[in-house]
Amino acid sequence: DDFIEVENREVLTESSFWQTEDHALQALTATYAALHSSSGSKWAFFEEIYTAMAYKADEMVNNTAETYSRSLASFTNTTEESGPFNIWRSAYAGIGRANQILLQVPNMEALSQESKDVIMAEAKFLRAYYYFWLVTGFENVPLVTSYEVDPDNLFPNQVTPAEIWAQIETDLTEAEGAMLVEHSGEWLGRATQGAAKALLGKAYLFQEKWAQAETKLAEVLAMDYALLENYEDNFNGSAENGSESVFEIQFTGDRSNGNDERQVFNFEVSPYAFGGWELFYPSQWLVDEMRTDLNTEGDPSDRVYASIFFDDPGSEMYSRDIDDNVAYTDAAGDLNHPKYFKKYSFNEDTNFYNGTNISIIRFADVLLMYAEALNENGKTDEAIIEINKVRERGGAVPLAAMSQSDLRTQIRHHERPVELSMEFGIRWFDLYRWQRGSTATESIKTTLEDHGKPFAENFQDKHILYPIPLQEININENLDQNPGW
Amino acid sequence: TKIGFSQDKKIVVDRDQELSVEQVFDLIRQQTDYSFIYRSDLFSEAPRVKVKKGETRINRLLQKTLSFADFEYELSPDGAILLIKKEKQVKRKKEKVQQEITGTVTDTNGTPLPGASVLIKENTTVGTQTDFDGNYSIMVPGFESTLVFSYLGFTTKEVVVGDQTTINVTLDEDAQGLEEVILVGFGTQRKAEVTAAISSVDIEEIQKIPTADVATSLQGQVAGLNVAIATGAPGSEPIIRIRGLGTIGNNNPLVVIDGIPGELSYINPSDIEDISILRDASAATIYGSRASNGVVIVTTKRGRTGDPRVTIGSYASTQWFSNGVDVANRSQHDQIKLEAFNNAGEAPAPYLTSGAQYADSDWVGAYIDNAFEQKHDIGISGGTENMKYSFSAGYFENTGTVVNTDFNRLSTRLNLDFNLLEGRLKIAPGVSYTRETTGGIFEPTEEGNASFSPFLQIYQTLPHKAIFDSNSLNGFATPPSELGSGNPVGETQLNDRTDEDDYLQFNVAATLKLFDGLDYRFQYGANIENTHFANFLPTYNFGPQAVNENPSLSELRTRSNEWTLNNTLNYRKSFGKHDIEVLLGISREKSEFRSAGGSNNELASDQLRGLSAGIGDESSFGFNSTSTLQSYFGRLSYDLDDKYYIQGSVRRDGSSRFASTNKYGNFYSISLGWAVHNESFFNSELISQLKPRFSYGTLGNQLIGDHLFLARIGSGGQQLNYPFGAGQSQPVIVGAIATSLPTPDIQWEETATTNIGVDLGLLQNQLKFSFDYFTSETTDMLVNVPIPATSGITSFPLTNGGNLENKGWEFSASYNNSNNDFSYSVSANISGSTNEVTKLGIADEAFTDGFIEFNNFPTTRTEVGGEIGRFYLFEADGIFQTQAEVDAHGVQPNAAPGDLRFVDTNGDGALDDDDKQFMGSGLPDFEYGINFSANYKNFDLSLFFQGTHGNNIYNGVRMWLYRTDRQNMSADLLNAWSPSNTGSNIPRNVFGDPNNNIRPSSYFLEDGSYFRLRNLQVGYTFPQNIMGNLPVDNLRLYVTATNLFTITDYSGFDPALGNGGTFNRGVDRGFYPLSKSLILGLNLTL
Repeated sequence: DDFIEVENREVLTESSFWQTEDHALQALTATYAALHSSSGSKWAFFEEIYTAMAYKADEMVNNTAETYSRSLASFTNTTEESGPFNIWRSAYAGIGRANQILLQVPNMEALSQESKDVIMAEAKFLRAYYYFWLVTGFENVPLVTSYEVDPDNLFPNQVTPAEIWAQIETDLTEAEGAMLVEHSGEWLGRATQGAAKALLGKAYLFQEKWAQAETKLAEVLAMDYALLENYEDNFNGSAENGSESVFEIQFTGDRSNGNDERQVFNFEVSPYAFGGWELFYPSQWLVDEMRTDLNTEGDPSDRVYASIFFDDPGSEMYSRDIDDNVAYTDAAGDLNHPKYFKKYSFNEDTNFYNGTNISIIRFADVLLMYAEALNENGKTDEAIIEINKVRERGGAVPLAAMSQSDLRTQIRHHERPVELSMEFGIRWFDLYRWQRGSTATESIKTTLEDHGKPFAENFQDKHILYPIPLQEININENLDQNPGW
Repeated sequence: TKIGFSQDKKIVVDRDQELSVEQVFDLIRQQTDYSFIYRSDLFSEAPRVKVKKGETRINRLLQKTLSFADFEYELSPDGAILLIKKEKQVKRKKEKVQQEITGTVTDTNGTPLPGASVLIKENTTVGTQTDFDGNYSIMVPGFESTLVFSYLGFTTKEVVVGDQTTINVTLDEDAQGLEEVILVGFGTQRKAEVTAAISSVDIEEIQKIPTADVATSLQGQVAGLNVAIATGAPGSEPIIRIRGLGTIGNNNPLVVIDGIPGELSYINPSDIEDISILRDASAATIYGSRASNGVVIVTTKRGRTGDPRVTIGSYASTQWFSNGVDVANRSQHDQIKLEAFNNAGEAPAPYLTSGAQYADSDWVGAYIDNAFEQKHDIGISGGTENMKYSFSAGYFENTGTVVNTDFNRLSTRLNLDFNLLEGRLKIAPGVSYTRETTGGIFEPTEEGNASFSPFLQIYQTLPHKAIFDSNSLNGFATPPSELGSGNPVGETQLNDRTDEDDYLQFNVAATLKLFDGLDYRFQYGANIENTHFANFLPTYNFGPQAVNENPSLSELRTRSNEWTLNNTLNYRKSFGKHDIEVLLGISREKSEFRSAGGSNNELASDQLRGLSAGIGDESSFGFNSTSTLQSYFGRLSYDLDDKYYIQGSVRRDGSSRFASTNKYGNFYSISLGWAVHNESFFNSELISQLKPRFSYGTLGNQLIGDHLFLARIGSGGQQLNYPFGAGQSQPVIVGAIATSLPTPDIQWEETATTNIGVDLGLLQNQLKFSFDYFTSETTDMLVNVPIPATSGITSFPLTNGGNLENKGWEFSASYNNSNNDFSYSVSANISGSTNEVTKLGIADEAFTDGFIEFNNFPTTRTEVGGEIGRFYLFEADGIFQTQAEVDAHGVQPNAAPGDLRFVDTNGDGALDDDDKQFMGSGLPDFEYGINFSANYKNFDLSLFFQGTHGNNIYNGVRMWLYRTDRQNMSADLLNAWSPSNTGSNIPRNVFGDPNNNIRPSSYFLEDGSYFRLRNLQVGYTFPQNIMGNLPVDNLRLYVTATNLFTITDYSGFDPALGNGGTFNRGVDRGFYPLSKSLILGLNLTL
């Protein structure tokens, strides 16, 4: 019977893996890779995950000609909507990989304890980050903290959001101590202690644990981070993993050996007339708000010009078509739409896609979160100082003193949306946490209506959360659908 | 089937002459495929035979020639007639009471039958034969005696003597041909013995359908055989299903060519001698593994004894298609789109109002063109009794109705037969080589997430864009930037993309007669497939989204080696009324696959085509896999008195694809048949054949990947790799981790099939029917079981996680009639099947598929309790005429008058996924084929109709082209609903489609039933007297038209397309259309 015993020459197996330090690092790399979506496809990341996270917010309107997340944007999506499913699937892919590392690495003999600790700490950080996607998007999700291969154990129940938050805090607290303060050289881009602290601070913020948030974010401020001198450098690739970067999703223009880990943002946001796809635009509300973000001369601030392409004599944008910047006034006649986003629109590659990283948490966000915690802790004046650091770097005049509640509104509907517009996973989840918190001043629906969000009239409470994906409920009957869906 | 002894074969005698037996054989050999095997001294003493000028039938000539003695005939599968002189059994015995009876035996036309046998039933040792004039005389023991008259190829007749002294008998020809044989696993059977559901294909009929592809020509020819054409692209492979869907895994039948598993698509149809379709388990068990989806057995032509015989077949054809999808031209486009923007309250795109400055191009017209097809075949065969040869060579070419989709094939085959040791050892080697060259386009026929059809790309290209530009370097126009990027005709034309596949088949069989009835057979076969794919893109710039800044090249070579080794012992013996055949065998198969590919995204110049000329980013890739099978099998057939038939088979298969504990699967079958018409009690003038059949058997399936039972670690690739390091182009780091669950317990999938059938013949089998009903149950179905994403695993593990029931029926009928100048035959078949999933996955999960675009618009769902791949859609029930109707309906917040109304099926006041309904599937209720052929004097005519009924098609093309938010759209939208056109059934044109009218709904689901004249052929054979002294034996010219008309309600391109997949069957994503063609051809025999 030797004839029907064929040696495996195709594929790595469990018995040949988990042997060396390289294997552990490969497993960790794979855990990071889920940041690009479970399939690793740049399209799944941008057209599914990014749009699903962004389209419900008031800062953008989608190009209605494109179906991607279109029904999320008009609050008419069904439980089958693919964007939330991709978020779900990618998050759990990352969690599953982290769980594999936490199961296997402790038993590996080839690694020093120090290496093991760092790798496992990063796995915990990533697991916490993926749960962050889940708990803020779906709230009611299963908590999976071990890697299961027995089919009978693959059908978990949901737990309360509090249990997920607790797991996030535990993972980040454990991770923070063991993570490196910085990765350099070939491993630049891996998560660091600062990232864990900042994410933990953000998690406290989401739970309105203002005092812990202030403390934890202050620890980040005490580290070696600094705002970039030039706001735009955060989006043009010139300062990747630089002083303002706390944690970024890494992309690269490297095409050797069939690799394609590029991002497509510039292609997605550029006007048709410049050769782009114009998948979405800034909302009129955001443009109006930005027009109030002025420099000392009374013109829009640098950060406004770096963020949007709009009807303004100083506005210009890179055109792939002519490989140069074009002034709005020259392009207006060919444009399909009056206003465009331009963050990440800088071209670096032949096919429009490029290797510019996408920020998850940058130091400006840490400062604004810190300011928010300070303000909620009654330290409004200190908060304004932190906010002004951010404003001044962006070329905007500093804020004068104001009341706690005015500053709260200023943070919510000016500082954060103007500074962080369109950035990955920010605006909608800010709206979500403010609505969910005790400091809520209005419902999301009111915000959306006040800010002229198209189809805001369709918004119901159920739209605050994504539906549990039908694709998943079809498979796991232990799952309950979110209320209203 | 041709293998049988066809008594209809006519032999032309050009003058009155007297011939020796061997000269008669020569005459027959020259004009037919038959050859003769006999001891060389057998006819040394034989008398010469007088033959008259004119035509005679082969059996008459033979009977006449051999009437001087008693011979036993044995027909070998390759058409040779083995002649053995019988010991004189027929003796005249003296009996106490003697009565002499005399008479004449004739056929129905009154022609005497020389050499007919006349026996006394009560004592078969007594008998005689008719003389040259059909006269006989025999002494019978008494008036109660019964005389039995028999003659090869005629039905036997019995006459009670009574008080007669002269008995003249007219024998009827047996239309079926008693000795007709059929291919079965590892051999042949007499058709009369067959108890399983086996169909033989009428090769002469299918060879009338001019095509390069055997599978295509099988469409509609055999009940229970479904050939679905996935795409009309030249060289594309159709999908063959036997008895519908037996599993949700791999449903491809096993194809056995000259005894060796192989690839049907590489065979030149002209080389085929015979095809059998094994439909039920009892027929297929002998092939055990892989046979659960049925078996297609093919034999290729072999040489005949005689002088070299040359056959030439040649045709040329023009092809076109007319049923284009009607897309808007420029002014229509502007009108529709302005209305759409207006209805959405949005400002129109600037280009819509700039009209005349733009082109008005016909993109579809530039993409398609009439195709030219030609096929030329030459065959040379002949040989001596001890060495026969058959050589053929063929060339086929189709230029494609779409630019850059040409296909050509060169094929050659040599089959040899050696008879050694006085016929006791036969060695039969065969070798064939095929090269196929396919240009072409990628088409989204795969399951799962749909890629985008190039046809949709063409349909939706703006007519405003110019196609050609004589000033540009490559001749194609770059669109102005406001119209967006892309020139799909240019991109297709400039893309140098070729697939060159070499396929070498070699097999040799050696059969040794050990002693009487016992044969040992050794067979070795190898299939070697080498493919080479190259994809070159030159530099071009059709706008920023359609730039290829550098010439780039990607190449892939694959090499597949498969070999099969069979050793069988076959024992066949008759003991009086008992016929027994025993087959025992072992076989080994090995399949090795390797591939190597590379690419470079920048070559130094557009003129270069070698990867070494690359100066950009390069990559390499390749795979290596091996699988093996080891099998033991046996079959016992027993037949009592040509009335009762029983057959049993067993097979034990071991596969490398399972872990050591699960390697082997055991399969068995039993089948029974009863020839009621041979019973003495059965005496019907009308019914000439009545044979009920029953069979039950089990089969295995292991059509899965290799080494799936191991705990695999995914490594590398986009999914797991991630970049780290400094800069915008930091290096990509390889990631690796388990991305699939270990499934160590996977084992053989098993299908158990029960078949009940009956064969019925009427009017001396002029009219024949065959009916089969089957049920099959597949258990431990190998399926990729959906598991929750919370597992962290995104690839579904393959487990024995499903059960499926499949039921169906098949009915076929044929009728032949002939007289002197006019003969015709009609045959028809119809079959249907239904399936039901009875278990799926770990917790009865559901599958979603039939995506219209990437990850979006799923249209089918497969779940327990229903059929595979049912359409699962919203029900659209009309168009809102007023706002009041919208408000009253209440569940479509963004709808306005003119939008589609969708049914809130569960009445919960919300329109959501729970409101989707199952709406049939792409599997027809039944499908059918009708062949009609007729001969009148030198003219022949054949018609072939084919169709399906009861299948649905989701018209994804229409859905796509009813969107006003993409680029170009269907011209139908000119007639969209508007307040002034409220009668329209097309929803209003509105940019952004706020009501989501294009959601997967019944609005785009159409009835896919069709009835088609697939083939119409008229031929003329030149008469002998006209051919005169030309060195040509036979010349026939013909004209054929294919796909001449189709009756269907389907509004898309072609209801026969896109029916390929298991889960996406009937989802039309825009495929290469089928052509109509007009063909002129000739057949020539030298």
